[in-house]
Amino acid sequence: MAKKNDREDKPEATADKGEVLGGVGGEIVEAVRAEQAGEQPAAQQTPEEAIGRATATERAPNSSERFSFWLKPGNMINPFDIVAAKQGLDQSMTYGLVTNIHHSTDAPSHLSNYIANDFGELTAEPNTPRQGANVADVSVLANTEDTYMPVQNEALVWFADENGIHAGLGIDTMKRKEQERGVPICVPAGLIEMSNGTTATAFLDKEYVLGPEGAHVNISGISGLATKTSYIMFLIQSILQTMDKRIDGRQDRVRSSDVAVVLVNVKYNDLLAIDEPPDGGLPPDQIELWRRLGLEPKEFSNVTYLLPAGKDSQRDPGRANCYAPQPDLMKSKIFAYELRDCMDKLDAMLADIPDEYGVLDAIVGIVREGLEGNQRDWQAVRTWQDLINNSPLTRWANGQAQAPGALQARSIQRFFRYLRKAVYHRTTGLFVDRKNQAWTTVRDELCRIQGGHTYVVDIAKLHDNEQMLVFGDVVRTIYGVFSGAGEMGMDLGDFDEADYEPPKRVIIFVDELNKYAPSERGKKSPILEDLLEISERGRSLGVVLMSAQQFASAVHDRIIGNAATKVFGRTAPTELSQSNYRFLNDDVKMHLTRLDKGDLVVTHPIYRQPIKIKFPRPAYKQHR
Amino acid sequence: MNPFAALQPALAALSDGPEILPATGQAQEYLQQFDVDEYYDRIRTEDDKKVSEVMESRPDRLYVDVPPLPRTEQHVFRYFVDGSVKTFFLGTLVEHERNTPVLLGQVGAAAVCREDDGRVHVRPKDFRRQIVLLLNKDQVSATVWNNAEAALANARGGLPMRLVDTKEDDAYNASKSFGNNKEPRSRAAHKANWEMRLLERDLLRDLLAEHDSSGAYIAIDGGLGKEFKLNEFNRGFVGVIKNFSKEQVFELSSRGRTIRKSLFELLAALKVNQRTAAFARGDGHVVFWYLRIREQRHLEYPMMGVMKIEYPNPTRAMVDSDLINHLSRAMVAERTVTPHGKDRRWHAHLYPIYLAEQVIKNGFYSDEVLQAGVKWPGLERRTASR
Repeated sequence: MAKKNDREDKPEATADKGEVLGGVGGEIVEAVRAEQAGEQPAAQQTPEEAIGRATATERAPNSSERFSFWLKPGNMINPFDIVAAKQGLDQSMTYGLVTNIHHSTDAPSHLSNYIANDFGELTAEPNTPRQGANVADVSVLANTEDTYMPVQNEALVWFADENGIHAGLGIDTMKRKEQERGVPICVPAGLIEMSNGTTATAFLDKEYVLGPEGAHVNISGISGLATKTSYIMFLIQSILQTMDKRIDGRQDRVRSSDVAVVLVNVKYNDLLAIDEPPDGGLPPDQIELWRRLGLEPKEFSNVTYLLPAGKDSQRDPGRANCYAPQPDLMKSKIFAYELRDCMDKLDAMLADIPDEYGVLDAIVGIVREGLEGNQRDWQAVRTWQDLINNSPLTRWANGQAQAPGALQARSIQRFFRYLRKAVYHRTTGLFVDRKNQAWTTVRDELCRIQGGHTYVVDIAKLHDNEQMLVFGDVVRTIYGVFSGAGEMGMDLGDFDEADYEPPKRVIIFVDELNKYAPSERGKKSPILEDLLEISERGRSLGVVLMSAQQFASAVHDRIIGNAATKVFGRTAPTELSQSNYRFLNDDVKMHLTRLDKGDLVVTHPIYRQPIKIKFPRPAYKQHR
Repeated sequence: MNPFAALQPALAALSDGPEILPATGQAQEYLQQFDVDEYYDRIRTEDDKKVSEVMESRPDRLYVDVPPLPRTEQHVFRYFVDGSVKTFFLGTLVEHERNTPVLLGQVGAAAVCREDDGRVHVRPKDFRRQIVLLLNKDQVSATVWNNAEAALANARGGLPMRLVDTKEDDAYNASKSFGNNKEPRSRAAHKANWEMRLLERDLLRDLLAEHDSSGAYIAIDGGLGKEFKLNEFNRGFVGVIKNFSKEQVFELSSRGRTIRKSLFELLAALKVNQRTAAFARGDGHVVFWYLRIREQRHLEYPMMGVMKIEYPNPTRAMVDSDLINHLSRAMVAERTVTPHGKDRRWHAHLYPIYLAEQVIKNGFYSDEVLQAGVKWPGLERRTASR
């Protein structure tokens, strides 16, 4: 790593650190440490390789946080390049992220430039071009000696090499932690590409992705670039592969076989062939990119597709309501909801119905209490038909019996109207009076969730309220399993907890999170509380939420705030003006508006500044 | 580190014996209020106020078209030399009934080199600086002077430092037009300017020697005074005067009749991309002409947008009109770009010369550094004992 360079020039500091590190010359210790961490010492950078010199002026001084440098003519840099500057007061190196580049000249005004070109002459080239300089603004990332004195005027500046990039971002400490503990910590998250062609792998700290230090990943960006889902799928694959990595022959206690992945497919058939290789294979450049990141391009294994029943499923029980081609029945199951499957989810079904005085809520409560408590009057109520036509509610609505409390008959009739609409009229066929024997429920499947397996829950063709119901089911079931809800009385069906060993981690991925955890106060979501629980407590329980949406501003603040890793694709300027993006500096925000397809900006607790990465296409079949 | 530390022994020597009346509030920049360019041109031309001799091979036209010859077509001027000086009044040295102001001058000269693609740079050897301490030698004892001179000679590190006698005559201060600059401080300021001119001259000499056969031309800021009346300066450069003396009148004979024009009249009829005929100055060892590089309609009065060009002519022979045209055409093309907004003389200023000036000025120590770094030694002690 880059520290080695500095020590060569600084014998006193070397000796001090050497003793602390182990009683030998710090240089040697550093080299050994770098070697142990799998790093090569940074190449000596010569003044000839420098790209500019630091500049500090009266009006634009350098500080501990920022510095500027002018660029040698003929050199090109871009925002998000990482540079190394000789600090100037000692021999340490300061690493920084280029956030913007200005070109300025000695012309005091535009008018001067106009006049200087012979009063608007366009054709002739100036005999002496106006003196100008390209000056880059740099946000300080790190210093090799923890010296945060400002970079001094005239200090030489270079492009950082891969080790320098890692030192600047704090990835070197991640690597050391990995070596010290003998467990994989560094999760490849993409490739940093710099203007001079230098590349470096961007790693995430596993403990900030899967817990316990932090958890959750959130990605936002405008749609249509097929980037968000692809990135999360890449990242999940990267996590799974990293967990099986051996460090000095040792493996982590938690391996990929201890991790379950639950993916909610919300668009077309995007995630309905993740266990199949892409048609014609991945292009060579993509395979190379996977391998550059130390990963193998692999499809997902042990995948179970949970597909919703549709209206045609009654006639053809093997036919699901999903976008073609439907996954093979050998690896998929069809789920539907009978009344008894929905006892605790009626609120989610009716979530989009205005209920100012909580009357519908009260009725839902009564139904739930009756069914869950298996009360005498409710024992015969087995189907949706029963609930509407032959239940205590029916009798109260008809005036045959006195409704409890102040509940009025017309309120119950209103409840029936909405229920009929949800279950019979405005449904995709998800609700049935009786399930086919081969069918299942989401809860039944996820109650037995297995490590090393991936579950894809397809809701792409469902109506919004049905999607809410199913996703709510996913969230509540998983959270129930991990938070010990069974012990606390949660109905886990026929599930026998004694024979079941839950996975040590479960990763849930959902796109369009704004539907389920909206930011607007007026917008109601019955599963918001569950999502907030996961985002706030999930990291300690082992439940990791990976979520995506177009606009982070449309998602509840606490969910975004609890995502330790935030990823941004191309984002519209209007969105960037929202408060959610306040933590990004203005220059970075502007760059977000013009990111290329496949480029993302990542913030991570270990990184001192956001970085731009590219990542390989997922190695599974994508129908679109 | 105090960059003026090496100066302290000399200041100590100067104040060892004489009384020092220091400048109020430490060293003060000494500003000359008049236009130095015009002033020196007036001195150079004081004996040639009436111009009557055309000194070129085809003396048939008063105004000659010289369309621009851009660098991209032919790169004529490759070096641009300028000098700059900044003087500070340090105090008055009083020895018995004699006294002299003591000034410090930061003096510099630089040559901007332009490549064929237009990029400019200054080679380290083409950027020269020195510090001069200026005082009237006659007004101090020989011991004081010699000690101070020796102290500066022994100064190590930093810029070269010299003691300069403001009483000494040079190419300008002996002139009858020197006028009010006989006042001691003005005279000292002039001597700093003269030192700058000598630095420029030495730099030019080296450049000419280096580019003896390359055909490259050098433009130096200012006219060609007596300081260039040497064999080494017989070719390969021109002097460019942005602001010239307005006192000259032109009496020119043509086909048996004589026309008389003031400079104003001469230049009012000079159109853009035109030069005047080349005239002789003095005994003809310098020829000069005026060149309009900008249209009058863009400017405020006829003298603007015109530069005076001087060319060395040691043989005093007629200068080839084609050469004058060639140099003038190349010079017209130098009008882009300009230091408009940065220098009030922008309309007749060459941008590369402006850049050379900036290089020098940016190399000077700031007023703050100078004020903090230059102090009369033992002043507090002496004041207290008094």
